[in-house]
Amino acid sequence: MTHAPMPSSPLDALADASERDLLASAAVRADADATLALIDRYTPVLFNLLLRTTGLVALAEELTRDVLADALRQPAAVPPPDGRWIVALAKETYRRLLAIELRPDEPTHRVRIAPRYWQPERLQTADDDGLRPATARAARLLRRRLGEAWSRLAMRQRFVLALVEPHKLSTGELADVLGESEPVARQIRDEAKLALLLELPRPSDARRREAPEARP
Amino acid sequence: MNRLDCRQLLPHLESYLRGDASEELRLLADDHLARCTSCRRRLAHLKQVTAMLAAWRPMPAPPGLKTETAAALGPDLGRRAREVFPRRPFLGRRRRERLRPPAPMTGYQRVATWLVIAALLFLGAAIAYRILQQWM
Repeated sequence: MTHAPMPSSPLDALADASERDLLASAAVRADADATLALIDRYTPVLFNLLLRTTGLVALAEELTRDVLADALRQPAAVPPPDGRWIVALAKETYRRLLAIELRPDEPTHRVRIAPRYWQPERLQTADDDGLRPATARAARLLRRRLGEAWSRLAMRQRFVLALVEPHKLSTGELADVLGESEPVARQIRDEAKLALLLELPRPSDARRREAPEARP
Repeated sequence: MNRLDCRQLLPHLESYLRGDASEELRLLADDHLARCTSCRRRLAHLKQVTAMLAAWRPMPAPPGLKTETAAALGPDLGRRAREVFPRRPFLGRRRRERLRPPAPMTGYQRVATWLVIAALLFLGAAIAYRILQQWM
């Protein structure tokens, strides 16, 4: 398949640039292409973090735009001195989520993600390819149940899990984002994961329920 | 050495899996896991869930969001963004749902459909009979 030349070629040239270089270019030289490359790279990241946290598309769009635009207005103010920009962005995102009073601790604030935005196939891991049918079926079932369990978590739990796992945040980075000490951040993360696990049926229960389907 | 039971181990499974549990806790967890099939199964489940979350592929950002963000930084950057970011169609779930054939009916739906068809046929026949009676 051939691709027609796209006008995005300036960003293609920056595809391998480190975020530190892009931030420096954006801050020091007011480089438009570096700024657009950062927008290109981080818009989907923030949008997905917010969508998975709030389940609200309009809110996810609005906060993504605001957080990213504010960070890029003064890129020198949010540099990653010895860390990653995602941590600074997530910290600001979390601060705004708290500011709009979504009450992250309250179990009453549980948002069901609209089915069209919950795409279980996106939870497919590379390991799923080539699995035996029964195992693949079990993995499909787990993905579906994971979707249901996710919607029953409290907002802060969803935020933590949507941030920590896909972005491989260390405990120190999570502590920085949440504004807590490392032991507290670790406890919050562990409780979130445990809450998700407890919302899922135990593997033995799943297998028992799966059995009739498995019959030819 | 004290021993952990399942209830005591459960809150620490995540730390154990990540390897950031204390040495003492790790030894206690090792000891418990060697004895408890249920907790070993739960740990495997936790690993699977963690792997799935880690490999969660992002949805594409809605079209126009990148341009809007750039435009919020200034009109010049907004214009440049409109040139640079192609307006790709949003290949979300809705589009694929339209392409997908309709789901097969369940048993109840099939019975209900036939009942409605039978009722309509009966009604049609009754009306036709009454009309024919009036004419003849």
